[in-house]
Parts: sequence; structure tokens; C-alpha cells
Amino acid sequence: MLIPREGITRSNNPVDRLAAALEAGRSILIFPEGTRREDGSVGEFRAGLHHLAKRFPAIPLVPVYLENLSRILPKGSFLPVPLIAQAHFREPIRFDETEPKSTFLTRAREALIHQK
Amino acid sequence: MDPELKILFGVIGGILLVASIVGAVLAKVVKSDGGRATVANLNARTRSWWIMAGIFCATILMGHIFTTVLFGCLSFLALREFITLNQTERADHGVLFWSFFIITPIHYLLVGIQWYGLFSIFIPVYAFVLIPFRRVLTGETKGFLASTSKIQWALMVCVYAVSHIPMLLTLPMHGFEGQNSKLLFFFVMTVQMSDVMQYVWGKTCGKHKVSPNVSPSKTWEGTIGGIATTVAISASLWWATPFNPWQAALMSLVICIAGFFGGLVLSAIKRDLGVKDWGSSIAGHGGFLDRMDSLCFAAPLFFHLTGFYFGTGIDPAAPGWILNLLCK
Repeated sequence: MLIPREGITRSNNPVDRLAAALEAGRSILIFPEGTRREDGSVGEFRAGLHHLAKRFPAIPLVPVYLENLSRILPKGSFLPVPLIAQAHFREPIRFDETEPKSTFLTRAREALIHQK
Repeated sequence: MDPELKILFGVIGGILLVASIVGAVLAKVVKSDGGRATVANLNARTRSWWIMAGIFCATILMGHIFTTVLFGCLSFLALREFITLNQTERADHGVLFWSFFIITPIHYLLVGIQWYGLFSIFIPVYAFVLIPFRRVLTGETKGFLASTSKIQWALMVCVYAVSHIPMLLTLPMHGFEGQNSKLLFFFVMTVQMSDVMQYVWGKTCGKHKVSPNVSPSKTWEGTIGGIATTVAISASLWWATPFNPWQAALMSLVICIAGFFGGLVLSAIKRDLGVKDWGSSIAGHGGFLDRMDSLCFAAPLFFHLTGFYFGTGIDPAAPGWILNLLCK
């Protein structure tokens, strides 16, 4: 699912397209940072994750930490280096309606970074 | 096919057959939980050994080019494990790309065209000069010496040292022309046998740790028993080498000791990085580097000792066709 970076209006809101996929019973994989950082650390999560979680509070969110990707192909480089990458699957988290948006996004980010 | 090589393959097949039978019996007999885990690991190791020995023997039969390509791939995979675990900086990216896709292929190309003169200095001299040159271009000074040293070390251990194994095929020796694949086989078999025998002796009667801080599994009983057994087996295969029995014994002793220290050195690096294995590619063994650690340090030693005492002198000049190309 390609998401336009510019010119987003109410009529072509990408969250609606993701929601449609979820309603059709499919799983979706999202990159909540929306970009990569130069130093390879995990950036702040964008609000889209919160919008989506709020619309589907029953769906578990599984954080997946992709290790070493920034060393394999750092931002700004065209040449990959064949290092070993690993995907770490963390404990799923769920939406909590009492929680403000920023707290939820921080909690989601923490769940991704830290192994329980 | 060389009849002596057939016998060597037979010896390996026989040893693996015994290991498989012993493993199957142990799996039935052993009941304790700890024992079961050890036997399961033993059997996983034996299964991996069958595959590794099969690939190795097949490649040897296919000749010089295939053997060079096999060890080139192993170097590449070992380098990958080494660099993955040894943290490098963003500024090293360009140097790493060079190391994987330019330096390593060129080095193995030199093995392939048998240009000993450039082969022996390409990484110690040219890579040594080029790596800091490339890195300094990035303008980043943080961790400069640490990074360039790590990468140079990685290339020396994983690429330069390992490449001496296929280079054994090019070593000219009196009265041994065209039989160098047996020399290569003798070397690899001795190193790996030494690892296996040290494991077997260590598991059965190991008590006193050699260096608990560096490698908790290495014991004096395992090391001495393993090396003694290996030297005996390897010396008995002297007829397949350019050595007489006592020379073969001495050579295998040197190989075993270098292999032992090689394993210890790479173990020390692993402990420093806080990991148990270099990777998880080979079931029961860990990563490629876990299987190759003892080969790395023994290979250049064996190559040069053999060349020095039994060789007819290696011509360091470029192959004729390259000289023709350059001097036209």
C-alpha cells in the first residue's frame, strides 16, 4: 500500500485505506516512524498508528524490531552491505481508550525497543 | 580419481558412520535431561558434519576453481558474521562495501589465477593502505582507529588467513606434482578432527578448565587427549602427504596447537562482545566462523611451513599472461 507523502486531504486519507484492509480481515504491516533516522535509532512514532488503533481497539498490535537495517543500508546510501539482519517479535500491545495519544505512542515505541 | 584420495574419503566416511551409530545408541540409552540435551546437540553436530564433509569432498573432486570458489564463499560468510557482531560506525559503510564486494573478490581472484606474489601482500599491504584512505574521505574522525583496525582484522582472519587453504593447491612440491588436493584434505581434516576429538575428550573426561574466562568448554583433558588422538590419526595418513611419518606427526601437532589457539582467540572476541556463537547457520555448531575459527590461524602457518621445508620455491612474479598484457 503506497502512501503519498504530500497532498493528503480528507478524501484520500491513507488511514481509511488501511482501515478498509483491516475490515476485509487482512493483517497490515506498518512503519509508524514514517522514515529512518541517520544514526539508525528508532524515531518518534507518528499519529497514524494511534488513529488506526483507536478505530480498531480489539486488534492486537505486534511490535517488530528490525535489527541492523540501518547498518545494511543507511539512510542516504545506495550500496548495501550484506550484514545479518534479525526481526525481533515483541509482546503484542493493545489500545487503551483512557490513554492520551502521546502516551500511547510512547508506550508503543517502548514496547518495540525493549525486550520484556 | 586418485586412489589415495579415495582412502582418505573412506576414513572420513568411516569416522562419521561410527559417530552416527554412537549417537543413535546414546539417544536410546541416555535418560537424564542434561544428558539428553548433550546427545541431541551431538547428533545435530554429526548430521551437519555429514553435509559439510560431503560438500567439501565433492568440491575437492571438482578441482581448483570450485575449491577456490567454495572457500571464497566461506570467507564472505565468515566476514559477514564477524562484521555483524563487531559494531561499526555509519562512516564505515563505504569501507565495508569495499571489503565485501571489492577486496574479498579480488583476493580470491588472485588465488584463482595463482599469482602468489600479489596474493601474499594484497590484504596486508594494499587493503591496509586503502581502508584508512577510504575512511578518511568521509571526514568522520570518531572511532577512526578502532573501526579501521576492526575491519583490517576481519579481513586478515576471515579472508586472508582462510584463503591459504585453497592456495595450498598451488604450492609447488618435489615429487608431489598434481597431488596437492591431498595436502589440502590432510590440513582441513587434521584441524576439524582436532576440534571434534577435543570435544569428545572434553565431554567424556574434561575436568580442569584451560581458561574459564575465555572459553568455559575447553579443558586440559579435552585439549591434550584431543590433540594426541588427532596427531596419531593424522600421522598414520602420512602416505597421502609429502611428509614422512614423524614429519606428518610434527606438522599435525603444529596445526592442532595453532588451531587450539585460533579457537581460543576468536572465543575471547566473542566473550568480549557478550555472545556465545558467531551465528546460527550450521545446526549444532553455531555460525560459519564457529566452525572455521581454528582453521583461520592454522592455515597460513601450515602453508608457509610446508612451502618452506617441502616446496620448490614459489615464484613471486606475476603470471606470464599478466606480464605480457602489461608490458606490450
